[in-house]
Amino acid sequence: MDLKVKINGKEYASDVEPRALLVDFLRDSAHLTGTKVGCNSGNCGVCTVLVNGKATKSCQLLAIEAEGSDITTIEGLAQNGELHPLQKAFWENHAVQNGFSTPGTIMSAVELLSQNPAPSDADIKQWLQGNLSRETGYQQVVESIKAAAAELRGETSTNEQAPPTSYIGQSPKTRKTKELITGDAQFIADMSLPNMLHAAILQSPHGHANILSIDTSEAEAMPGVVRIFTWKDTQQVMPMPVIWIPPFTESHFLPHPSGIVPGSHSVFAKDRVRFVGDQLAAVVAETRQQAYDALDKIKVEYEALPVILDAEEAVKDGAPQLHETAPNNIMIHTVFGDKDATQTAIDESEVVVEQRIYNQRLMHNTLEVRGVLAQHDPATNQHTIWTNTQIPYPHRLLISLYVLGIPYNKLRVIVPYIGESNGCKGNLYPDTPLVLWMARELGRPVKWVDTRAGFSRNTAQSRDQIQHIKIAGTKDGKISALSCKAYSNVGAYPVINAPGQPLALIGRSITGAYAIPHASYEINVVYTNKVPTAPMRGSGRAEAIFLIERAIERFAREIGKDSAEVRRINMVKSDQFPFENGLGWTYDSGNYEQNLDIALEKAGYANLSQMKADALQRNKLLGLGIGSYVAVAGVGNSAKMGGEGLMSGTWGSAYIHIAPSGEVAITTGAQPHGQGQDTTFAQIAAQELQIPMDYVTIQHSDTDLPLYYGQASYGSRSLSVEGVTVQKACQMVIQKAREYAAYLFKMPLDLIEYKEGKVIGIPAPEQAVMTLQQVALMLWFGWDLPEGMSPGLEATAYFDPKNFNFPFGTHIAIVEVDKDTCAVELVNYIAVDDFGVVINPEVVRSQTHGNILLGISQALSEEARYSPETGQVLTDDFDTYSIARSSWIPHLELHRTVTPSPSNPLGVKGVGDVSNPPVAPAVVNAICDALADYGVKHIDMPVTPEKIWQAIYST
Amino acid sequence: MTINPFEYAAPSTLDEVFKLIQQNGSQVLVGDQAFVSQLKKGLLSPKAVISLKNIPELDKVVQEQNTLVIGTTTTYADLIKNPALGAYPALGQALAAIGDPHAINNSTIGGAFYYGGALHGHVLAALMTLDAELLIVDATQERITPITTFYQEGGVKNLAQGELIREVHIPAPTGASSYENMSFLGGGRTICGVAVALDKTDGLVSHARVTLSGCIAIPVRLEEVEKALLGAPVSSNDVENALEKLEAEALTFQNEPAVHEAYLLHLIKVLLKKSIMKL
Ligand SMILES: Cc1cc2nc3c(=O)[nH]c(=O)nc-3n(C[C@H](O)[C@H](O)[C@H](O)COP(=O)(O)OP(=O)(O)OC[C@H]3O[C@@H](n4cnc5c(N)ncnc54)[C@H](O)[C@@H]3O)c2cc1C
Ligand code: FES
Repeated sequence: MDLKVKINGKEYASDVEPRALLVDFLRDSAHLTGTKVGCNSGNCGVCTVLVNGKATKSCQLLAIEAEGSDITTIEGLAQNGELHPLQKAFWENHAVQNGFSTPGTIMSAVELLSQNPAPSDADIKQWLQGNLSRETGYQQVVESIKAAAAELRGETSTNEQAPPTSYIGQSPKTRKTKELITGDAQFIADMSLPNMLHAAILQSPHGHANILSIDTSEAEAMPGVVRIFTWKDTQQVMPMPVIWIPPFTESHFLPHPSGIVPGSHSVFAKDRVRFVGDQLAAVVAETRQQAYDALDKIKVEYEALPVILDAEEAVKDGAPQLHETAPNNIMIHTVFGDKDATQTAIDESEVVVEQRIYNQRLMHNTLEVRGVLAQHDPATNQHTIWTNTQIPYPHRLLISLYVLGIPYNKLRVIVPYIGESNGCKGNLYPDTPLVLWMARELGRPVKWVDTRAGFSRNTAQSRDQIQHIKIAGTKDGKISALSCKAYSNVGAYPVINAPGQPLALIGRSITGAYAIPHASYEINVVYTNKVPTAPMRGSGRAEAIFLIERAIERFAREIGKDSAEVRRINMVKSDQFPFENGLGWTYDSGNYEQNLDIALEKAGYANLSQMKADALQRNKLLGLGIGSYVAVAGVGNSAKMGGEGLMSGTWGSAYIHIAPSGEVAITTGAQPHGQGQDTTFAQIAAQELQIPMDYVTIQHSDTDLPLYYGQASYGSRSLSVEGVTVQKACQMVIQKAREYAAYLFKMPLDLIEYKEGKVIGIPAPEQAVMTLQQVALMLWFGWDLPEGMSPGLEATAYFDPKNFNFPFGTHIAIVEVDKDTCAVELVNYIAVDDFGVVINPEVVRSQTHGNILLGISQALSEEARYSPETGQVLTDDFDTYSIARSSWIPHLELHRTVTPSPSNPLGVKGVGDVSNPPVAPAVVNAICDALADYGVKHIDMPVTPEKIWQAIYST
Repeated sequence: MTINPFEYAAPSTLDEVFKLIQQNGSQVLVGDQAFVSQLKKGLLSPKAVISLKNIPELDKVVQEQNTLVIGTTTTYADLIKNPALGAYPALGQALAAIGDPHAINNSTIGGAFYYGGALHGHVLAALMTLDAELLIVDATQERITPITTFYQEGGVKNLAQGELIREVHIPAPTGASSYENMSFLGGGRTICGVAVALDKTDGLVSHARVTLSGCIAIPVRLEEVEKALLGAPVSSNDVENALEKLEAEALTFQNEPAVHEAYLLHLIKVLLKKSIMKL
């Protein structure tokens, strides 16, 4: 049908199908891809545009219904090259991280400001209820909208930043952000290639079933279908590899033909499906719509098998078995620490408290789903994949070597703008090599972008651990022993690094911020018919810190002591560093009590009973909860990680190139996905080279860049491992520049200083001076070089830290529980973190907001639910899987202390996911404190009003 | 996930509309976003969609004598702005409970009846409690139907192929009203909501209308509770006694999300008490 609309002031006419959604029309026909698709169900708001000035989720409107309307998208906001005040404010207030939700949020805010020129925080949070943020948080968004409102009222003009004299410790505006706020940045779903085909992938409706037959004939006859692939078409494709094989215990994985590593699942299931995300077939068609239309016509006959979803049940005799290679569904069983000595210490203690905790299964649920675009050039045999992954170099290695058996040097992996990961995009999924395989078979580029429901079934989930805890000590509060017997539910297959999380990351972390003489952790890593798991923001340490922080709280209550005091008594003291925690970590530096004390003071701990009494007047039960933590970060020493089982190095790398023009290009092994490394790494280089930051370009996201292998970004390692190599690479070129200057100036090396971007001969600073650019030019000419010096000015630096680093801190949550409805309201939240030396305080603040948001969301609402009969994932949209919205989050009060880490020359510690672990325990401790008078000792997450009601009214 | 193809027409006269909606498999679109939700979920699978967007007379809010008349394509955004709403606090509060501006901008009063769903539950509850009626028309005749009889056994709508919900009529209020709901952590997604309207004579309840929404597929009047409220003053004790009658109501709770009945019953009582005590 004919559709005429005005978009951003311009007339558009197009032929649309009546069923086409406005969002698809905007993106596919008008080629305005700044409007994103997140949920396609009206929940997330990333598709928000203005229709006749009204905020509208364009996935909830038929395009044809917009006939005659005036539509404004993010691309239409900037006028004559001048950013809209909201766009400017989002940038200046560091409200943009990965930027996927930014366009929709800004568009929604435009309508707010047109109605309300001076909105309060509460107005803004209320207005943004339909605009989700998963990783960025809401506070900086609220600040930005207020700043823009002020500018629109003519009250303030946003100030241009003066060039700083020092770069480290400053917060310049983040780079690669303008394209995110204008909608120009291309995410995977926004990309296309000439002659491109579209794929849709069929999943199983059963969590466990035998496949009797697959009939693709009707689908093949559908319009636009080019080919349908099943297991028959991919027999040469090898299964996914497993690259975490603990050398200290037996593992039960699946076979892999490489003979080098064990295996996981295949691109297509053949005889049997073991979880609902197992892939059965893929349709490749001319359009995405045609591919999905045809997918509905594929007929599969199944014979349903009994499903097993609970890890503790799965190890029992008689439980349905998933793999012949894994008796009783056990992938790995092992013990960290001395189990017998710990049990003896428990037996000999005055007080023992036992608690069973279920750290529920979470879904990463990034607002951006996953996608792959692949192309093969038969003339050169060059394979190229564009995908939103955190680990491009490992993708290149694993796909070429272990999955498709193609030359490493013929595979290039490129990462476009990537919209959040939370950890789930740090995995290798069978869909990725499949799309490349299909592109090669068909001789045309193929693109696959998942749906929200598909994502909920094929993309790794996380947490899901049952813990049986014993904590023991004296009546006056000294803890003598801690033991945990745990069952980790890692789902149906051992995806690449999944075993790592329930092993070392939890097992060595369970003593938290405390010196506990005896600790042990016994773990069963168990297969079930759930979706396979992978690390998630807070990974492993979140489960460990929740465990110890709940346990210490329970212990303190049991002996009738103040839990802050019990924490203080047992905390590692500031003179004990480096501190061996007895389970394998060596804590690097810290002053744990100091952060506890600051947090208590900021929270008004001394007035707690008064606060409780006041709240009771309003029919509210007030509670305060503490979460103290230490989180291992900065992965890591390669030998140590090898010892844990990771079949990879974990060093950092950077390649620096100083062009004859003096421009500095640094390729990093990091893979930014919202953490701002483009900015912070440039700050490090500018500081080290003493040149303006503008001279420095940071490169990443493409395996064809001049770095042969990079270890990527995960586990809060980017800055403290990869960032350090940036500094080191700069030092290497400075050293060469000085050596060259010594030769030219005919002076000894120790008389050559490097200052303000110049090499200077100290005895004759006026004559013997050259800028770095001049040095680079001369070195690239190479006309006159000292004996043995090669031409050019470049270097590759590596850094393999001797130890991890250990950020720490204390968070405090204050909640009010309504006595009647049992609804929980977070009324105050204080975080006092120590991330060592901080390069860019605003970037760090942004990361902390994201971490706290996720923790609150886990504590109060998130949980992946499955059908007990079929194993189907029930929480397959944002209605059923509820993530934190703006109105849940109080003003977060963030404080920081600075204790440099001795583990790296920058003195920095990890930031990206480390402040997540204390959040959920602080919130749950607060709720249990509020309910203490009702005898409530523990409630498993998510702590819903219903569970609270049961806890207080059933007793 | 795929929406089945359909024909689409957006006529500019009601006559044409009536002609088109007589066809089997045709479905009226009143400019409401929940329609798209239902298409995506496969709950609606029309052969033809007849949009009312080009019929301006269906988009209106007017006072006709004692009745507030709301045209079927009137958006919640327009309704909220209308000063006439001041007389119907339950409706104003129900609309405020929706929260998300997109949902307010793109939901229509007709959509509440055509598509229902959680979001419209608030408004439906308020309208039932306010004794609203529907003006239903077809090519030849029109009829007025109270909302309570619009929904029949098993949620079947009293609406024939070829008929159109043209207007919602709300009679002048005879007493005070209010709406209370508990949404999941303020996320907009409601767990349950209650709308109450009371008339009092000499301090005693002479007429009570109480509607429950959210936790059930279609809002229902709680008639046992209404009866029990009659003749008593609005005191904490009397209200609590009346709420004992909740157990006598035949309610089928919606199972998604899995909230247990016992808690829902508790919550309904809490909200009802809060709502009634305000009046
Ligand atoms: C915690 C929780 C509680 C729930 N309680 C109920 C319940 O009591 N009764 C019930 O029927 N269903 C409930 N649901 C389910 C869910 O609300 C519905 O399945 C869903 O809203 C149905 O949407 P719809 O397609 O029918 O259309 P609509 O309800 O009309 O909504 C259309 C779209 O708008 C979104 N939406 C709805 N309301 C809002 C809002 N206020 N703000 C922003 N977006 C909104 C919806 O998610 C949906 O995608 C609940 C879900 C959750 C997570
Ligand atoms: S609201 Fe439209 S994509 Fe999520």
